[in-house]
Amino acid sequence: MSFEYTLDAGLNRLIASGTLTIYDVGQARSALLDHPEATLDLAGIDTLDGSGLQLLLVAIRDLGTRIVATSESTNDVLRLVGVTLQQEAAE
Amino acid sequence: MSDDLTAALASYAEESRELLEAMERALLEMEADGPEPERVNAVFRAAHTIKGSGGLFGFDEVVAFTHEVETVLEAVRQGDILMDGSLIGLLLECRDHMTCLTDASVAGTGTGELATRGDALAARLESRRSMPDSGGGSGNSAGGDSWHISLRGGQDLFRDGMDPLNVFRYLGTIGEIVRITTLVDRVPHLSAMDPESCYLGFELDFRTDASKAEIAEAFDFIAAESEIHLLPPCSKLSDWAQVIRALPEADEKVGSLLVSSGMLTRNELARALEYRATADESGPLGELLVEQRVVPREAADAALGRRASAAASRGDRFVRVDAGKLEQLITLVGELVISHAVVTLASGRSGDRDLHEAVATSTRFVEAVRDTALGLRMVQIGETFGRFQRVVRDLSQELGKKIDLDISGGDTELDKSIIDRIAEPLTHLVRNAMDHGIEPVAERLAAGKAPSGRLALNAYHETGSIVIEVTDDGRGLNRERIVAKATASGLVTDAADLSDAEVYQLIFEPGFTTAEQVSNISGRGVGMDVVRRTVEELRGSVEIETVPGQGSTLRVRLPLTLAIIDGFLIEAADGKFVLPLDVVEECVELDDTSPQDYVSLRGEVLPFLRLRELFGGPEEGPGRQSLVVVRQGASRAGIVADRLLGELQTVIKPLGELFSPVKWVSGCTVLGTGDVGLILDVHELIRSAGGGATRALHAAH
Amino acid sequence: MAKTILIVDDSASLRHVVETALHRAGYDVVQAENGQDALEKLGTGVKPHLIVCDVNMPVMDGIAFVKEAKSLPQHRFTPIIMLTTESRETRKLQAQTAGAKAWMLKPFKPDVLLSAVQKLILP
Repeated sequence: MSFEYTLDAGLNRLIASGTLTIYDVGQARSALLDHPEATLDLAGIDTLDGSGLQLLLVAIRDLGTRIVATSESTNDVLRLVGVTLQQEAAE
Repeated sequence: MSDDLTAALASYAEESRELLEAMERALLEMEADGPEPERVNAVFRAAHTIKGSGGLFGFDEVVAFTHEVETVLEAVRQGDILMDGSLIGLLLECRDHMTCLTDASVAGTGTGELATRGDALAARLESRRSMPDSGGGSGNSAGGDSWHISLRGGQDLFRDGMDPLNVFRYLGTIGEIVRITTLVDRVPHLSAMDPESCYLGFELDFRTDASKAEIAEAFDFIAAESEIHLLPPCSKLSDWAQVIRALPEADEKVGSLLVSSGMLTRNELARALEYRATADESGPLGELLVEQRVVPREAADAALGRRASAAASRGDRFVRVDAGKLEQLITLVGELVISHAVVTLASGRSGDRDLHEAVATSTRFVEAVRDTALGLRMVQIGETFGRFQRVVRDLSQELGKKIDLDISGGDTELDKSIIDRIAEPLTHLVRNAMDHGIEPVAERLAAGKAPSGRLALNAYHETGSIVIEVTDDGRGLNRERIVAKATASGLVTDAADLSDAEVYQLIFEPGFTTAEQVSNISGRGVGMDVVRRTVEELRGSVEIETVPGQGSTLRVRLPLTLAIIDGFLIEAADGKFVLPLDVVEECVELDDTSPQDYVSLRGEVLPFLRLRELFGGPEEGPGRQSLVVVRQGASRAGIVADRLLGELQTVIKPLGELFSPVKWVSGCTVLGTGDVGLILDVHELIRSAGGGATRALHAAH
Repeated sequence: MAKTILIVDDSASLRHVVETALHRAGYDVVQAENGQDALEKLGTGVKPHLIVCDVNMPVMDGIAFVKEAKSLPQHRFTPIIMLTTESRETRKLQAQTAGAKAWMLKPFKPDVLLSAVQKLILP
């Protein structure tokens, strides 16, 4: 399993799936920088580690990235480190 | 009164003076840098000792008043009341009152008229003690029943597979993370970051029954690379303060984060931040190590053992020595050097090789003893500088100016006898800078400057001299005003040809005062002329550097010690004489055997003295003699010697009692040959030669 | 989804004890008897969440294995606990330079290893 993403051009949304770990953050960062206006759907992410978390937090901080969907495992991590997302209802 | 009691009283007076100075210093440090517990303790100890020894002498007023002070300090130590600016101010007043009380008690002049002031201060102390802190919450600890953990991940954590998230998951198995905040402050911008590096920080409140060691173990694998602080439940506010300071983010940032996440209350934070000063070397360093590296306390204590005992013994690293005994030692060392030189010569004459080598060995020790003995008189200038904290504080209030004092180079050493004599001129320079240099707030603001003036004291060594600088960022010297003043006082007639430096030097002339500004502050007895005279008596000089509108630096340059001088050796009537090199202006040949006592040197009349006559040598000297022109201040004179022997560095030895009535001689020194050289008193010689150049000129015309 | 741990040690009895302890705690365990064997296992698609690895082994020792494993793109960030009787600092340094930052001295009780493993990954 590894990190994969598709761009829903109509919604301008990155739909990510697989893992978001130290093995994937380089690729994920490029995707975020390539689509700085896109929203982010994490519903398909099954593993998130500390480096993945760091990347998400910095994208929110620096690009204003909005996360529109999360998975069970991402929620676990966010809960673990006390982060609450201002979630936008999925359109 | 018995001699014993007199001596004991003198020692009490001395001890109290030092303790009161230490108390003042600690209070001023608190005012500047916050009430570190160590400073509170220093003030408490001083008061406690003064009270204790005062009781021995039956100084009841001292004891009673100091007891009030001590009680308040104890309450501060217990955390019952807060050491804030107003309490520090009150305690400074109390310290002054204690000084008056001890002085009056020691002098036996009675303390009656001090009672009113004492009662008023005691009442203020009492009201302070009974008044609960306005901030509320009197405890000295914070954090409730949870541990507080601060973690700043090391950059390699993720790459090494050591994910802090796993540590938190593990913590969840041995306790409960009550609160957690994730910090991204250290993460570079997304476009610039290395996503595989860890920059995350976490602040956690963690509730558990596990021991500190067990909690620390959770961080075993990430501890080496990360910054970790572990605060037990109900940690002292000072410990919180240390952690807040140690963390890489700004104190305010960490603080507001702790408050917003509910880990500290706003009040606890405010009080913790009052412990602002840096961690002292002793003690707190160990605490930090335990927190940061999570090393077992025993190991840290063992490693720090040496430091701790060094800190403990710091108090008795100094031995108090009677100044007379020290002088005696230095005199004896001088004698030793002389007699050793005689031994050296004798052994050389004897031709005994073994003896010669033995003497050569002991020469090294004699020289080492000489240098060490002279070094005993070297003291740091810091204490003298320290006294200016109070001067500046009080004077700036008096003047209604805001002035910050910066002190640097306090560890610079110089001869005790120089320090004793330079303190007063230095005070005058400081007062002068504050009074005349630094502008009132309104004037500063109008000039686009910061409202607070800055006064800096600095000391450093420079090629055999010590330099003391008094710098202000005030208005600088004003050439026009000085010239006008000097002209009005008749010091100069035409200043047009004078360089700026020459004009600035006019402020050191006797009779020069900028009359419009004679206040009771810098016009207090000592004038700038006395400053220069004192400095010159110490064989030093004063320079002025000034930028109009931006400030001035007065730079006092002094010899490192009065005990060693660069000398110029001359011979007359079979005697050797030493002149301080810096007074020697030039040397000319003199073939004039006429009885007159002046020569014309390049059109100027120069009075002179014949050493041969002064020291009762045979009438007939060599046909050609040498004239050494010496100058001190504006006065010049010539000294006629038989031969010039050149420069030397020499140790000044006080004259033995036999020599003390000898005029024209200020000391003696031992020459390499073992002969004694007499150091000439140039001031006295110039006077004897005719009272200086000016009078000689009048006589000639 | 249980986490997988690769245990690399030339002692079959040690591997057995460790596997039992870890398995009981909820981990999946893959065994390898030396560095070469472990590399082959990694090559067949085993993707451990943690590697526990002895230092002194025949064929390919632990240091060499760590270097190899850290050069594989899909395994380079995997945490590694080194097991050894070696306490010499140079060996430790070698292992750390190669990429293994965690360290455990043999002999150890299984629950001590388990506790160390849990600090790196929970099952």
